[in-house]
Amino acid sequence: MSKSEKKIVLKSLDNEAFEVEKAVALQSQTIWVMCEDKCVGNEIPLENVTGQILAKVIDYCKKHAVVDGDGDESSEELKNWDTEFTKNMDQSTLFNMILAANYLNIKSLLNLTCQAVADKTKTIDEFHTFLNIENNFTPEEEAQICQENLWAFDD
Amino acid sequence: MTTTMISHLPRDMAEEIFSRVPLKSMRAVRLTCKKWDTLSKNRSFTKMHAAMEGNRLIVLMDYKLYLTRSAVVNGDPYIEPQVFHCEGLLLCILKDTSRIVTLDVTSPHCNISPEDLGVSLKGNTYWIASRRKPSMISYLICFDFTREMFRPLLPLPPLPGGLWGGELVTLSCVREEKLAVFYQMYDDQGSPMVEIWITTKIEAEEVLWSMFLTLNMAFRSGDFYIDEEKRLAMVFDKASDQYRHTVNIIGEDGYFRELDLHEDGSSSKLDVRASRKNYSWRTTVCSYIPSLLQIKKLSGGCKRKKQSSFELHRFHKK
Repeated sequence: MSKSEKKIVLKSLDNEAFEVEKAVALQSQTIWVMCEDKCVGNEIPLENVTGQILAKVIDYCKKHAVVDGDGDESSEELKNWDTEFTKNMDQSTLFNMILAANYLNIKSLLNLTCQAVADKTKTIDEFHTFLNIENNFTPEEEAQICQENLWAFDD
Repeated sequence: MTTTMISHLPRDMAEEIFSRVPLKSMRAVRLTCKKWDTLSKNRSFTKMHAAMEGNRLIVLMDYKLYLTRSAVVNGDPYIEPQVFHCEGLLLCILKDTSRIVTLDVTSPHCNISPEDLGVSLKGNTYWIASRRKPSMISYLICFDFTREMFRPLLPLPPLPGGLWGGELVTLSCVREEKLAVFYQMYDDQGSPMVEIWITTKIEAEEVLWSMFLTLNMAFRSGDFYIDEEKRLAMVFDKASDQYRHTVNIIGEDGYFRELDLHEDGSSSKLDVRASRKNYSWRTTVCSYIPSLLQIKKLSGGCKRKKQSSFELHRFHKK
């Protein structure tokens, strides 16, 4: 790939094409390796990510890209933007974002989305409702775990 | 589009999420379902959690135990002390030192200071050792608990040339993966120097070191912990007035902060008489990684657990 080609096209699972700056896309280690290998042209097919999720991932990468001249956002500002970014995502979107960040190998996005899920779940009920999981313990087993988990950090 | 649920995530992704749930909420995680209960007991998971939650240390000051947490917020470090208490876990410190039973850890080819408590790493314990003769050069020695024997001496990082002996050498463990060594030295002009080195490889027959930090300072005791990512070290010491326990945070380019360790963090006034009575010259620290596994209580009275053959062997030899 010659230096003049500054843009690449990312193609989602459902065939949606996104043209992005190379500097933006290369935050993904997966894409970086694909470009290094020169096994792809200017168009990169991403078989595990839908267009809806890919659009969000690109938004994130654009915000976090260090592009000459406009990469001067303060870390405080960036943090606030991250909070807003995940604030209104429903759980299904968050899980899809986690899967995409994992597949594309974008460490900071993976951290952000995993933290967002963890922050939204604190109590047992939240775990059951937010994460859609059924409780499969007997009352005896439950009591046993409560007993085992008595320790210094319980107030 | 179909809804994606947490059960669709691969196991390591689920672990990534749980490691970010505060330890305080672990009971909720365990009670959610059987799969998660199993997951939360996993050792790699506990380690990940420890990495996320920051350093937790148990500090022994004047025969009292404290649980503290240290953190660096926007470059500004702080220590948050708490009085230690932990249900179901028994920690016993005998003030009368004559009653403390110690293992005889004298190995045939070197000396280990009886004050050196050793550092545990991956199930083995390491000490600073010196050869009986002819020099004062220090080495690293490891006791292999599976074979119940000392392994051959390993080299410590090289001392800068022209230094005289009498330096303070202490060990510390970094996230249960690496060892770090702290050197307090004086150059030929008598100026103090501190060097901290960290292992890049540690195996039975080989150890490799790399320099972590260096600065010109003097400490009386060298119990320390390092934060590899933030390039900081915490050195626990007693202040020059001999009554204040301090933690000194040192970093690159001569960065230095001294913080007091208090019970409530509010007042620096200490009852000097009480301090004198309970005086101990050093602050002892060890890192604390909470385990979700419960220690089994012994049934039928409080008979002492039978000593292992290793202990018996050592006691009898003495």
